[in-house]
Amino acid sequence: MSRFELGRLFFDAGRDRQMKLVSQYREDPDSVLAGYELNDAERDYLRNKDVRAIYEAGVPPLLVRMGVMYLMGGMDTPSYKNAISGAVQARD
Amino acid sequence: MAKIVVVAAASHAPGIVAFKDQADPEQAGRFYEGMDRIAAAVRDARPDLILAVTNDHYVNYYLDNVPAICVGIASSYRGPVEAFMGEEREVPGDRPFAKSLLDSLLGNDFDVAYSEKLCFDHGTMVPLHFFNPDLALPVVPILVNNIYEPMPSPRRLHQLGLAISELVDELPGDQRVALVATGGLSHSVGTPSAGEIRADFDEDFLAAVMRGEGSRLAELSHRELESYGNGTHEIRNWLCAMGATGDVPADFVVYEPVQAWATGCGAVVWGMN
Repeated sequence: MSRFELGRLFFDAGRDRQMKLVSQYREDPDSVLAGYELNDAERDYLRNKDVRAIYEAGVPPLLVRMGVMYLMGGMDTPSYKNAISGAVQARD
Repeated sequence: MAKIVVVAAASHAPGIVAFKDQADPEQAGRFYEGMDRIAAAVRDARPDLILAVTNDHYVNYYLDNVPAICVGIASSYRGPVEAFMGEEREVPGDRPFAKSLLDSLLGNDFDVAYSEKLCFDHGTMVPLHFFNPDLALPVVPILVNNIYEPMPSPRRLHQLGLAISELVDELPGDQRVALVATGGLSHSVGTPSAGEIRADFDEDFLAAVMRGEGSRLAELSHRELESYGNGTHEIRNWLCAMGATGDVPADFVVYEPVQAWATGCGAVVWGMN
C-alpha cells in the first residue's frame, strides 16, 4: 500500500490550486497525514524528507517530484538526481 | 458532415508559457516564431472547434482509476490547474460534438472512456495559449494515458487517429475541426535522467514525421520510448495526429532542445497553405 497512499497524498497536493492541503501540511502535517493509510516508516519518510525512500517505494517519478515541490520544501534538479542516484523503483 | 481541416502537434512543457525568461532567448525566439506560424495556419483553416489529443499530469486521474483514452464531453473545463501557470480560466467545450464522437467511437468498437468533468493542466493549456489564446474556440479533449504504466501502445493511438478522421466525416453537423496533439518530445521528469533531452531521438522522430512515416513510428516500443525519458511517452499523442492525417508528410516543423525547459520542444502542422 505504500506507494499508493504516498502517491495519493502527492496527487492531492498537486491538484489543489488553492493550496489548502499544502498550507495545512505546513502548519500541522500530522493532521493531513491522518487522512492517508500510511505506516510509521512512510510517515518518517515524509518527516525526514527521505526522497530516496519514497522513490524506491515505487511512487510514479513525476509524483515524487511534485511531492518534493509541494510538501518537502522543493529541491533543484541536481540535488534531486543526487538523492535518487542509483535508486531502483519497486515494481509490484 | 464534420471535417478535420488542420492537424497540428506541439510540445506542452510548462516553461514555454510560465518560464519564458529562463530560456536562451534565441532558442525561445525561434520556437515561438515557429509556434506563431503554426497558430496562423490553424487560424487560416477557420476551425469551429479544437479536438485536443492531450494527456493528464496527475490532476484528473490517480491509480484507482486510469482510463487508457478518455473523451471529455463536458460543456466547459477549467484550467490551468497549476497556480504557477497563471490565471485559471474557463475553457468552453462542445458537448454535442463530443458526445457524437464518443457514440461513434464506441459504436465502431473503439472502447474509450469518457468524463463529464475534467480539468486542464499545462498539457492542454500551453498549446491553447498559442492556438486558442482568447479561448473563443470550444475544445473537445481526448486524454491519453501517457503517465501510468502500462499505457496504450503508440500503434493504438495511430489507429485512433485514423478512426477519428474517418468517423468525423460521418458525424452530423458541418463543424470544421482542428485536431491538435500535445506533448513530447524527449524529456525526463523525476527519474535519474531528469532534465535530460535526447535531441538525437527528437530529430530522427521529426524527420520521420515530416516524411509521413506514421505507421513506422507507431511500432516504437514502450521500452524504447522510456529509454529517451519518461516524458517521451507523450509522442503517443503525435501518433494520433499522424493517423488522422493518413500518414501524409507534414508541412512545417520547428524544433529547439531548450535546456531551461528540460524538453526537446517541437511542433508540426499539416494543412499549412
